[in-house]
Amino acid sequence: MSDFTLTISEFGKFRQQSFGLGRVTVVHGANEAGKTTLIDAIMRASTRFTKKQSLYTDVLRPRYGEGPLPVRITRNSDGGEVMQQEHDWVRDLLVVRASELDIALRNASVEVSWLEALRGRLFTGGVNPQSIIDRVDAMRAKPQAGNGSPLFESNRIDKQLREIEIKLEGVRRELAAQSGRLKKKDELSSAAGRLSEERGELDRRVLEIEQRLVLQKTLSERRLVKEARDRLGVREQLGRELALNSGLSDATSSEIRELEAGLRVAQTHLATREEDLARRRAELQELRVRIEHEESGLSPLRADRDAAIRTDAELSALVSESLARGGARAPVWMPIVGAALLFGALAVGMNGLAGVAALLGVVLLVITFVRRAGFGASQPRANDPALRIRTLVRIYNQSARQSVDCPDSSFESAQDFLRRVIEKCKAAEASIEKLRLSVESASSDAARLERELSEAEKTRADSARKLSGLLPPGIADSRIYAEALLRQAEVRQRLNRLESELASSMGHFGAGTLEALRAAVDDRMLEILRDPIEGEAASLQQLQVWERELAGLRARRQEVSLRLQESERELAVQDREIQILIEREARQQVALEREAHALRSRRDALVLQMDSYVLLREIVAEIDQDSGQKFAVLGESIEEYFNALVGEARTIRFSGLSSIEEATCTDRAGRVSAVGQLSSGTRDAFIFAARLAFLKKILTEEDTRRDAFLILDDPFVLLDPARTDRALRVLQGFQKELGMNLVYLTKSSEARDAFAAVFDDAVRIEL
Amino acid sequence: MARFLHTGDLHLKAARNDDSDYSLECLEAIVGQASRLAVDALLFCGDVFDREEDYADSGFLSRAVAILDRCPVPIYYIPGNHEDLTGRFARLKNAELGSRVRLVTNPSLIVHSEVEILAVPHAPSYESFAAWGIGARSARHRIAIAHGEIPGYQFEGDEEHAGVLNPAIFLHHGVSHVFLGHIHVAGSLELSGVHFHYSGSPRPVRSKETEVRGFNLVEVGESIRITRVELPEIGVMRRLNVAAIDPSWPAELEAQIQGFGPKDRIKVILEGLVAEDMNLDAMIQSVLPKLEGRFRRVEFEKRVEPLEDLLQNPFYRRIYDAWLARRPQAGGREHEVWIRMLNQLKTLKKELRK
Repeated sequence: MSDFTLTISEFGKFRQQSFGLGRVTVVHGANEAGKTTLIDAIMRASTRFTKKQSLYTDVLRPRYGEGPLPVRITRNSDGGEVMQQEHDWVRDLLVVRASELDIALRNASVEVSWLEALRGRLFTGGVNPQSIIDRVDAMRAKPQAGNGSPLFESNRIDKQLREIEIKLEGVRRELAAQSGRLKKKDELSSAAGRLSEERGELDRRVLEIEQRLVLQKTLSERRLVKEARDRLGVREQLGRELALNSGLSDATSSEIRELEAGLRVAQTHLATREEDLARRRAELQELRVRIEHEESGLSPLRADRDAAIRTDAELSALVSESLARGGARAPVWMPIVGAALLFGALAVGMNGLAGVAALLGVVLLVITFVRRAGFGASQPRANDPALRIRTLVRIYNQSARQSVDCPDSSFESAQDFLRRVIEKCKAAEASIEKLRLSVESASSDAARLERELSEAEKTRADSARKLSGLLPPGIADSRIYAEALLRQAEVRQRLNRLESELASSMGHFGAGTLEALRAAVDDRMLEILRDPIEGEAASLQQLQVWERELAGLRARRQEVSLRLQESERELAVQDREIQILIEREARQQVALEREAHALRSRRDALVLQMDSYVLLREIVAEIDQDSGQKFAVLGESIEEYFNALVGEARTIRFSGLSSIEEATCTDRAGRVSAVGQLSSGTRDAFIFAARLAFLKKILTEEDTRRDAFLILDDPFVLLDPARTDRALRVLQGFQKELGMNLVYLTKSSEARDAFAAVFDDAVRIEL
Repeated sequence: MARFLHTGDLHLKAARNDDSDYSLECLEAIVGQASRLAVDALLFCGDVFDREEDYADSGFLSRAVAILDRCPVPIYYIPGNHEDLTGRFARLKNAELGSRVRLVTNPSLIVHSEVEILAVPHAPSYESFAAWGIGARSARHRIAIAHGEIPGYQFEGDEEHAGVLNPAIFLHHGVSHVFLGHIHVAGSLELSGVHFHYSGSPRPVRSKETEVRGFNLVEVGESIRITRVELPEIGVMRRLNVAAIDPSWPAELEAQIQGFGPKDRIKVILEGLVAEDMNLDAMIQSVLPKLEGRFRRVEFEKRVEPLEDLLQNPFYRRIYDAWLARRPQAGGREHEVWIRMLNQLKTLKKELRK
């Protein structure tokens, strides 16, 4: 009774056909009967594969084309399709052909041993975990371009980063080298900054003062302009005068100038003489006045002199007469002593000696009185000499210009006095005489000068006449003409000066500027006009202060500017050099840092990748270890199946999995042989035993695998009948133990019968 | 003491995706922080807008300006390499950015709260820095704002090339601290005595920017102090690598996203090998609705290779089972190694077949 239905539609030699399959199915058919097609159909229906996998690329497509290949196996119990198994698992374990018993295993990888590959098929999906571990270890230990190691690229990036770091170090060194220059430049900059500040301040002050000065100068220039205008007016006037005075021939003018010069000489000479004459006349007049004065004073003197002479004569006569008469007057001491005695006696009292002294005094006084009065003399009073002298002096005083006092009445004194009067008169007369002589001399000089003056007048008159003959028509007066000439010269001189000044003014301002200045100044003028006069005066004073300050500031600014220019020149050179270097280095540094940043990011990603490889290795190593442990357990199962197949007890040991030589078989005699060195039948038995052991292991752990079909395509054709029988018994036990589906295909009717003898409930299919 | 908020690389986007509203929310959060921290000014160090079309979109621009105008302090803004002022980007110069923003289009010196700020707009080259006409430092501190790359600064982002800012520029101008834009991850570096500080983007812009977002608070007093201020409310970028071959990955993913914030952006990368009959797209479509709405944005990316017949082999199947049993905790390097292992198995399988 079938458990499954294999439905085939347009598949190989089968069109619409169904086959009932049991848990165990034996298919018998001659060559070309369709056994292989049936195997392919079962594999197709029970295997999950892609179009890249060998079942499709190596088997189905070459044999059946690229069509849909409609083949399926359904369970008869519920109609559901059986679960499809993984391709590799089906290919390597579920299809057993005698001719390919171990070839399929060996095909798993030419690089690894069959045991390794087998283990991979069983426990690592056909992948050798050790290959992954080795690959990752190689990536870590020997990163190189070919092994896809992220560390190779990471190391290359590290090298690039080191190169960048070296470049960066160079850039930093260059920057450090510049830092010294930068420091010096900074110092210079600071100095220049200070100078610049100072110059800025100076500039500001200069500008301020210049603005003030410009304003003031503008005002001044405005005044200049006004003056220029005035001068223009004067110039025009002078021009007009000049025009009036023009018209004389140069020759006449020259002659006139000569005559005029002569005239001026004559006039000068005349004036000099007139002055001299006037002076002399004045002196003459003065002398005359003095003479008159002296003469007026001389008359009394003369009277004095005459009086003196007469008096002297009378005196002489008197003296002679007196001498002739004799007699004398009381001595002088007499009245004095008499008065003294009298007053002394009165003072001490009139007794004793005092009375005597008083009496003596009175006597002396009486004598003096008597003698003075002529008492006691015989001559008459008129003959008294003293009286006469006084009389003469009185008479003299009456007649003389000056009265004199007669010192005493002595004759000698009178005579002396008279002599002095006479000498004075004589001196006066000598002086008068001298004056008279001077007057005469002056009169003579005056007369001479009068004559010379007359001659000079005559000369001047001649010159004037000549001059008037040369005068141009309409000009009668040579003086006017001469003045005109002088005026003309003066006018021309002034005109030249004005022209020069005007030219200077115009050149300084320019016509347009001048007009603009005028307009600007007009406004300022209005403002200034409103200012008090004091303010203007103060501003003028301030202007002078500013001018002085400005001069000082300009000098300072000049000095500062020179120093600043020097500093700036040096700075400019350094600035440029340092700027270029620093800018270049800075840009290079940033570019290198960005490159380094990108490389580091890339390296980090690679390290991350490497770490993920390491994590993968860690997981794979765990799985590998686990599969190794499982594989070791399988050894016992293999040994069990192998002994059942060969019919004797042998011991299987695995020293390793990299080569079949590492699997050894020890017989009862204790001979140890590598499995690879056994006979081909024994080796095939070993491999078959291994397959069964593996399948048992898988089916025990994964119940769903029991839907899989173990396809046996004449697997025991190379075995002797005894081993074939043992193999069928082993297979029977395996099927009963695990309930796995078996499909046994053979072209031999004996083999079919032998199989059916063991599996009596097998479904039979005859092709 | 002066306080500045240092940020940049907002990459405001007008309409390309849902980043439009989100980017404005981030801008609003920054402006809000300016009030909360009582800063004296904001320093926007470039790439505030992502592309020209973003500030050319008048509607979007007006929304951005409305937020900027609410800022209580001035905003000093230098263009970044996304806002190059040459060529077609030049229109930023004429964009109406509101009353608070001062767009600096040429290298110049700003003095704010007695601090000198050298503002350096992005340029492909800075060779002419000596001719910028910047005077000597006259304040106690001179800092700079700029946008570009720094030599020696190691970063892991995907930023494109930008102008290279070398320390000589800042040494020349007497700058001690430079506050930068361009690199989206915060960090600092000292070069030749000049301190460079990247604030990083205040929001996740690119999918690899998984760090917590924030900005720098700069306090300038006797010395200069920089404090990192994080913005957890902005959300972060989450990248989750998932082994696609594992049929239980949706459950694994759900376990991983526990504790993520509503503003987080989640990118799920399905990696490794995947069976041909595994309808990954259908699985994604079934998972996605459960995630959307819980987070700001959820994206899936497939980086898978076909499994082919790998698991038909019992040995490989055993490897797969052992691999699955070794699943490490997600997110670490071990997890990455684990995910990639099957790919290596596939590679080796092919090589061994040869």
